Amino acid sequence: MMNLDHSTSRRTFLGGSSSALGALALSTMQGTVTQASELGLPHHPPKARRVIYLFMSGGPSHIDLYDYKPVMVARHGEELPPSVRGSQRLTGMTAGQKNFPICGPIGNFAQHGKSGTWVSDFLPYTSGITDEIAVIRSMHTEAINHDPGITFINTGSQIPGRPSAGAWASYGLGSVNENMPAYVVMISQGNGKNPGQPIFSRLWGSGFLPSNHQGVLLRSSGDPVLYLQDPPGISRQNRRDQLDDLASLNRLKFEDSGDPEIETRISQYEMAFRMQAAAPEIADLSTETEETFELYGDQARKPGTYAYNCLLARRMAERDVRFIQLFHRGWDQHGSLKTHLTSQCQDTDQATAALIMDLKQRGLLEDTLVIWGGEFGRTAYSQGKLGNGRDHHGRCFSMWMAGGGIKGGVSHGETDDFSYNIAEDPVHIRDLNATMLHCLGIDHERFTFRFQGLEQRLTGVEPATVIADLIT
Amino acid sequence: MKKAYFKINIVFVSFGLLAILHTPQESLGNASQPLDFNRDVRPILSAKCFACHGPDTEENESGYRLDIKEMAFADLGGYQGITAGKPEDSELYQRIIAAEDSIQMPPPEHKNPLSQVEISVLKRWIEEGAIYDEHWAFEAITRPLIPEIQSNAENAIDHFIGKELEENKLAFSEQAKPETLFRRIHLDLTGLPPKMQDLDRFLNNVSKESYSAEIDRLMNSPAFAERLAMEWLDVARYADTNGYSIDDHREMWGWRDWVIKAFLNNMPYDEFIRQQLAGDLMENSSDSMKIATGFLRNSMNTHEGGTIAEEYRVASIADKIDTVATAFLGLTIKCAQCHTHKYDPISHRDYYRFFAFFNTSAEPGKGAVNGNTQPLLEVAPILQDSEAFRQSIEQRIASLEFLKTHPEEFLGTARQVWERETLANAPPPRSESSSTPKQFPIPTSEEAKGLSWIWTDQLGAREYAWFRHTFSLDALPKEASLFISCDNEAEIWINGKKLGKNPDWRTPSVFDLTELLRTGSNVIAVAGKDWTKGGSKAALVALIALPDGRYIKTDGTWRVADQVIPGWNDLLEPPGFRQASIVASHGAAPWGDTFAKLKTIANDHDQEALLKAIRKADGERSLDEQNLVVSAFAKSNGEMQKLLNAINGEIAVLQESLKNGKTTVMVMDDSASNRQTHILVRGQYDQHGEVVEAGIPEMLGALDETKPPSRLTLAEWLTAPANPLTARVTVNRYWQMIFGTGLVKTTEDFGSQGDYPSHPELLDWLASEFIESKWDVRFLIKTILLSRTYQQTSNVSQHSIQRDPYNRLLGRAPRFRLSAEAIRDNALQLGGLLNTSLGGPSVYPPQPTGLWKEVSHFGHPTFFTSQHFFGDKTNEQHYRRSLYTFWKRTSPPPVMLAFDAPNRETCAVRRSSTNTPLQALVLMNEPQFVASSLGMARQMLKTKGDPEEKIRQAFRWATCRLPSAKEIEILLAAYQRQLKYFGEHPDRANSYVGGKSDPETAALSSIGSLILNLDETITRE
Repeated sequence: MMNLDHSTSRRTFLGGSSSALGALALSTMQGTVTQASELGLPHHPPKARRVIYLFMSGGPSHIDLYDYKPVMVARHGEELPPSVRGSQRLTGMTAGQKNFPICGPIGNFAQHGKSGTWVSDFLPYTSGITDEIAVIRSMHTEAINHDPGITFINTGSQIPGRPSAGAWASYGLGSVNENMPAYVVMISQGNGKNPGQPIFSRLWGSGFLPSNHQGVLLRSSGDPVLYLQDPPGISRQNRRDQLDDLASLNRLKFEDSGDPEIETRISQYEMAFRMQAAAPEIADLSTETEETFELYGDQARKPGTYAYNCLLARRMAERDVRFIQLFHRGWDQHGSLKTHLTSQCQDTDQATAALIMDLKQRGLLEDTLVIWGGEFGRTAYSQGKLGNGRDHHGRCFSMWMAGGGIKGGVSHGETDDFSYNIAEDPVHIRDLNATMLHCLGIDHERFTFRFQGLEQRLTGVEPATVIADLIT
Repeated sequence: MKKAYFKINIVFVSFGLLAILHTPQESLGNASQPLDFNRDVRPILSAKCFACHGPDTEENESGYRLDIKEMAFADLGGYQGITAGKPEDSELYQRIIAAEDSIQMPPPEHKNPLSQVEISVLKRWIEEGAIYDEHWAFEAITRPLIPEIQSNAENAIDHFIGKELEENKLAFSEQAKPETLFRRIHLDLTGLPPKMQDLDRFLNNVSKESYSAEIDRLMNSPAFAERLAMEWLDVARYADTNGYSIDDHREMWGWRDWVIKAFLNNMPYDEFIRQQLAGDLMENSSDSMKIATGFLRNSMNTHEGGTIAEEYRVASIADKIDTVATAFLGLTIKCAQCHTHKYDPISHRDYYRFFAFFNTSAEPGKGAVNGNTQPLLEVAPILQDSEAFRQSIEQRIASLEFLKTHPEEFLGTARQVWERETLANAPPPRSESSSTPKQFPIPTSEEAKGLSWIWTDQLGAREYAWFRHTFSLDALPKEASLFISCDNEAEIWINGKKLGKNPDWRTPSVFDLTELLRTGSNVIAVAGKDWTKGGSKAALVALIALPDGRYIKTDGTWRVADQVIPGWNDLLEPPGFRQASIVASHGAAPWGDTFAKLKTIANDHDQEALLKAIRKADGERSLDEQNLVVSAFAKSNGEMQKLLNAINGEIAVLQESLKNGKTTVMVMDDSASNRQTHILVRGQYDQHGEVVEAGIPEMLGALDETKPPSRLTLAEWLTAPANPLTARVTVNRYWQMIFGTGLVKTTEDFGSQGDYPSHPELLDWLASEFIESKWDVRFLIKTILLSRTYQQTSNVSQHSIQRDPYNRLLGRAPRFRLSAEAIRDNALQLGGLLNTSLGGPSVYPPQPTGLWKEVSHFGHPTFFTSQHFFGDKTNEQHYRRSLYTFWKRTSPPPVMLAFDAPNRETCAVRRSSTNTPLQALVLMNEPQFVASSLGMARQMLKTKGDPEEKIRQAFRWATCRLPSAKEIEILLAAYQRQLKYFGEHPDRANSYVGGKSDPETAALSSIGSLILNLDETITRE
């Protein structure tokens, strides 16, 4: 039987990060900064404190957005030279096609900003922020279908079972906001292809990491966080009173049993109580100005839209949520390329650019890493009739990064004349992840978790390199 | 020498953590005890050296290996890597202390340096004679001698545990209180709390005999079988959907029920393994034995468009290998899929020899749509009788039928709004004669020539398109009718007067125009809408039939606009209209011959019946009328149509089961036994290397050569008493189930990267006992439960927690949070709500709306699990035990996920145990937990005595003990406060309880919730 003064016991059991007991109690908790220091993180001074990952699910067409190919314009409709196509695999959807006609970009490209970055007129707003972003035109992945593709880019492996990038960040760096989880996920549905390809909870799952690192879904309808709302008839004050009772009873149990886990539980109930206020507060846009809505567009007023999620992302960045990930669906333009891509861009372009500008004007861009992109690109040749659509293409595609630790106004990597193969500076998903971790102050090779006998890491076992060209 | 030890001690002071966490290694600081190679040295070599100097020779430039004894000590040409007793003559030691980067090991660029402690250990090991043992887990299991100890013991387990405790100057804790122990065995064996009459019976007669008898009683209960099954479902990655992409449904509960039945019958565990791996190949294979092989079919699969079948076929076999290796061998064979294992002696070739065992099934790489993929077996349910099976399906159908007519959960009040509009727009009731539908004179193909589907070609057009066409009539026709079909719906005006609606192109409409036309100019105006949001734009085909075979047809002369102003539908054309574009001629794909659909369209008679039904209040409509309303509503509401398709899709599948009384289970077969297995270069499915024969990893020996190298022979080898791994891995998993942590902490990895056992001899003793008992799981568990070790209190003293914070020495019982399933089942049982019926189709307790839809491919019309979640509406299904909850892999049940359940995509033998705010939210607010607290309140009301007594009893239901004076003081004060709160706010009492309520019930319900949230309630003490 232990009879400790409460304040003493609290210090003893939760106090010092160097004590075994502290570690014991913390091992089951929400990731904390204390835990990060125990992992020896960060490895070097971080440039980014947090990440906003704008994930474009379905495979946006790099050819029509970022990777300008005048040759393709000139040779629109001609057969893609077999030497370009090579022998690599195609999906079951176009593998049987008799012809592979080149489909030139369906929009018009121009150079923008001081940097002269090429962007198509599908993205008029993004064209205005080119000096802030580093476009990587030489991304590549081995995946050619959605499921393995989005699993790969979000977890570093095509095979399910690995933790997501956000879970790694939560595990490694913990939360700096004591009212909100370290890793928050929001989903929106594009107006292009609706419904788009499915997504899965494994994309923000914790894999073999402790499950408290899985992404928490912030939802646009119902409770913003599952079961956030008290049962009907229970007022805030009444909940507070009941929590005090619960804490008193649990504390008595702690005195009896001596199990430090009970202290942890008490603190988790307190965080839950705070989260009950903090999560709705994030979703409460009543304090946002008209200028802000003009910046993000009117859609930002409508819960569940991409623009709304972008605005929430900024609000969470202000509140120091560590890893914020948006999933926007509908980028799978096998057909109706022109109309669907137009809709997808209308959904996202303005708000994406607004987010960058808004972060910048609030001084948040310098320590927030923003990543934009999907799981692969789309083919240079038409799927079906000329101009109808494009199939999946993993051999090259475009993404961009901006903010903390990233040089703006950069275009990195080159593809061939048909945007089919990489000509210069290939960047694999692993390299992208290594770069992301680098910005967060983490050496991807030393950031590991032992599972199934291996020191597992986000970047996997194949070599991965931080993209030196992009980082400040 | 002295200096070195000094160094170790210093290190232990500054890294005090290490010393406490891994107590067995504490002897490191104690020079009197020699190092143990497997415990102290091999983990260092494995983690820091084997990657290059291990089994995978590809990256080993020097050829020097440390994983094989002979090579580690070999003469390297005048010098040795390791010279026993002489660190100064050991190249290994010299290299690890070298300062120069060029010769330092591990090379600095590997970023995985040896710590000072590790260097000291290696030095000391060499000094002590460099004894090199083979990896412990691959050595045969030998029954160890039972050590003598000072402490009292109940059985052999206590001798092994006691010895370590005594060596570390610790002692067993006292026995737990009888009520604590009683609750503990109930939770451990059944995942459910004890009933109070059973507790009282036990407390009246506490003895070794009554304790033992209670264990037997529980082990004979179905709840015990369910509890063991729950543990196995994680290992077997059991789920009710396919997992990849569209995540279509599958039907594997027949296999799940086989597992429960196996535990009900206490099937010997070796037989349990053999049937699941090779039941189809066993002599006199029964249906039941074939069902068992569903274990191997729990792999994920897909029918995503674009899937390359062979890629997924290979992935599915890789998953089987991972599962079998992890579950039975505790080996991470998976690592050898792309290259030879870096740490354990498993070669790339070994991997594909293992692969060959599973490469003989007809299972295709691309899965079936809307259900199970071949090969499969159709069987009657295993646990339910036909009546129970029929009832569970009928209840599910009833829930779905209810949702059809009450879609508010998904659509809000859209149906009610539509009903009001329909009534408002309805033509006045007509006389009987005119209600006969007008026969439309269908044109001949010659007459229909030129009839076209038209739309707007405007880029970015969404949803709406407005059409007009003016035409002139010399005289009023005697009769005229309009045929119209719009993808997806249209409103029509003639000369500015509203004519009606066309619900969808699938149901073209016919209207009588006779009274609306006039001489001179006429205009038909159509507002078209496409409700596949963003899918396309509206397309229209229309045809006005005039007497004498004249037709006015949609063609390129019609006008179209993307935006309109009021009055657009009247005679004068406003600005903004231009020529319509032609999409296709009538009759072409995708719409085909829409005239043919005329026969199926609802006639005026149906319209009358519909209006009649709508005029009735919701509750007064017959089932037929409800269906009539809902199908008419669906025609005007795309979301409802999708819901209806999904619901009808599921009902159709259920009806099939209802008809034949059977379910199907995916099983293994051997029908592709002539398929060759190749080594796959770098694990790539299409990079075939040399052909290999089936076999086990070479380092583990060879199969019986007199038998064919089949799955059956593999299963027999796995369960042979000589197998060093299977029994150890199994007893370790059950130890983990009971103590929270295995004797080998890395339950999934017994290889050289895994943790060394805390009590290696105990592990071997248990494995020996287990094999000798003929793999009797009940015997094994009961042996553990009868030990003194198990029966200790979980209360912890300051001394004990300082010395052994992670309780690896078990000087006290572990105290840990219940599993996700047990937390929910426990609450439902305490609330008197739990439905304990056994087996059958999976069930759908409620979850927040939209969770599936947010992630799903809900565009597919028939794959019902890939769309909306349809909760059960009957209590019979709501409150079943959690292992029966429908498991959708891409969006698992949220309550289970909150409490660390894995997502069941791949084999999981160990759950993390976290403590998060999301768990607090579930326990406080999730509707079934709230319902359980109300259930407790209702039972408290039935309990005799004053409020204090009621609360004392309720506290005891959850904890098996009465509250202390301090505790009851807090609880009573809470009750008084809640009583006052609800007394002052009767409306809140009503909404809290969900109906007319008195403050007392609501206040007791608050107390129920408080008790369900107690740390003690969700903890096994």
